[in-house]
Amino acid sequence: MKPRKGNPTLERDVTHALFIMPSLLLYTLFSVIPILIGVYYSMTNWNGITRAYKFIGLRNYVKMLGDARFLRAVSFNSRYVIMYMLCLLVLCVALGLLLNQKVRWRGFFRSAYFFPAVIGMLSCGLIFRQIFGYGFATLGDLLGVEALKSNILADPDLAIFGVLFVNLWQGLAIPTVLILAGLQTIPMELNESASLDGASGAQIFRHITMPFLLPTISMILVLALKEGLMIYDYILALTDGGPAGRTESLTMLIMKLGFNEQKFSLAIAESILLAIVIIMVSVVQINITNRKKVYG
Amino acid sequence: MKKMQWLSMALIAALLLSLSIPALASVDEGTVELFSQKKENVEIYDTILADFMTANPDVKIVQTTTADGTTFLSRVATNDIPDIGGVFLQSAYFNMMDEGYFLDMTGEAFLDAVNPDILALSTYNDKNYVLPLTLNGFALYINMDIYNQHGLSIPTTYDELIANCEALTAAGVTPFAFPFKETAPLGQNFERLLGGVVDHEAWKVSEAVAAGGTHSDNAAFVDFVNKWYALSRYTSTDSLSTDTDDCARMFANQEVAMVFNGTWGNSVYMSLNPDLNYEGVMPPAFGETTPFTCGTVDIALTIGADSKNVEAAKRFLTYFVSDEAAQKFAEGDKNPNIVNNVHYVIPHMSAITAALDDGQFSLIPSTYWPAGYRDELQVLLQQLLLDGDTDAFLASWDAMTVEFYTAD
Repeated sequence: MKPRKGNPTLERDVTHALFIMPSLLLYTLFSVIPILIGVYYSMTNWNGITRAYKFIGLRNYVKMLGDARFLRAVSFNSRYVIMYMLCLLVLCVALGLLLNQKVRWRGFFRSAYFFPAVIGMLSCGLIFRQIFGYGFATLGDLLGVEALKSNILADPDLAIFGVLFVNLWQGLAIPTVLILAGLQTIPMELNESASLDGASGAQIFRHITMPFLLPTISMILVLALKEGLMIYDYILALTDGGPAGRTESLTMLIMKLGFNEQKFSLAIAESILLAIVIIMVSVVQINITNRKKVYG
Repeated sequence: MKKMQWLSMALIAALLLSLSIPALASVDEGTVELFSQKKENVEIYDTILADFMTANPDVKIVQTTTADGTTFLSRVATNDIPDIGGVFLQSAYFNMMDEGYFLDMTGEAFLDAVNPDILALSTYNDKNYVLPLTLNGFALYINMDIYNQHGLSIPTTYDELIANCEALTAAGVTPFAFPFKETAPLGQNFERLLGGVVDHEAWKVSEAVAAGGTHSDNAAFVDFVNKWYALSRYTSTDSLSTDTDDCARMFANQEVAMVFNGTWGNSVYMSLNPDLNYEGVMPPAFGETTPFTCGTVDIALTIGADSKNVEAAKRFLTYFVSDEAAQKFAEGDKNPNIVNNVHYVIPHMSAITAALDDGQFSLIPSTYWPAGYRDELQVLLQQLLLDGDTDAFLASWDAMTVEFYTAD
């Protein structure tokens, strides 16, 4: 048999490269280039309207780091994302374990807990705004419970928990499905062997279930981090950043600076900083969880 | 492998072709676009456009409507100016005029069809970039059934208003609904009362503060802030979670006796409850200043300077200020119309209409405040509502003013 001409490895690599070219092209056009242009504009004083602008270097970044409103938004996002990630992780694992049990109507329960995922975020926020404002108040009147009569979204210290509740209510669905899928990768015989050897449920969970779930948990945490840092829709629908800016997230601040206050270059600088923070925290998080993974 | 390479090349070509299709599809130079930022006018604009196209079959004109200014700003940023744009007399749009985005319409015949005093107010750098068509003012809307039931009369001073609020509260009626959840209506409420009952040129005080003064130096301002805060207490306990739609519903359902709102609220209340017995009256005097209804040009139309349909756009504007079209629009819009020969008595707003006819009209301060100034003020106002610390509010307002007026 005659040997084939050419380098088959090179041909294969060229073919692979050509296949990823469309995605790479799209990603470059709609992500990389705008980001690079954004970095440039963040170092100017462009307000979104004027055709002429000056290059001002890092002045926007310096101004941002001393701006009380920016720091308040950072504080809000920091607190929010930590609470969101912790609550999401605990709840989705617990829910996943429960829905993995062999019980009657398991299919119905799985569908019911997935239902929130099909509602749009803005619609969900608007629905819960009415629930917090009128639903709970009416319930409070009927039951005579004073705490229910006041709207949590009107309290500057509690509004963050209202937003968190709505976000979790909708945000649990897909991570729970992912956890459920991850639970199917755990070999049954490992659990059975451990059980036969006298391991308790908690020990099985800690030493067998969790290591197998870590890849999934790592992905959920990265997505939760991004979602928590970029939260906008729920806040827009529920509180519009209030009361008194207490729930104004970084994304909301960026939108307002750019479109309401014509401070586009400052808004771009803040969005670039946000992107850098997301990347850095994600890298650290993935590295930590990677060390403890078990691959099935 | 060669077959795979050809396949991948075909995929790339298909992708590039698909990216170019939207660009090809969007080119339609003969169609004029009317860009409106008032969602409540969609139907009346549709009617006017249909009538225009019937009379001018060679012109096609379509309406684009958005609820806020972000889309318009995005289009300006990408140099995609609408043929006809509905704009407002605010710093952002003045910046656009400076940059030459809008056509200078000075001397056009259709400008002669509108009230010359309002036309003069609408000029920028002595040029007419906009065709003003309607005004909005600010009113105190009163449920007359509730007032009559409790023997109250329309207040003309702040003290009378507070006395009415006390009487209503004692009778178990919530005096006011305020949209404190949303920062924009909150800011509107504050600035329109400031410009209407305190200082008809309130922006000049801001300029003085930026030059080294303080708001605390101005006794009228200090008095107004204290009175405004005191008035804000006469509402439901969860006012910080009440928005514009909630307020409208509460007023229309007679859950509250009064609301402050712009004249645009009139059409909302009429549609929510056509049988509601209410009146829009002048805000009461808070101090020495004669109350004006504070507002701005509600509908001001521009033509894009680089529009490819300038002549068609001008034909539409000429049609829009004709007696028949302007009258029809006034009856649908339900705001004070400034086209000459339009005779429209706005239901429930006779007091405001009379005030406008008498020249008791002042421009909102944000006409001349820097872009974003009122947005930042709105956050301070919510903080004032939370803690009631008027001294801290005034100090923060001073600091904010200096920052805005001295920003590069």
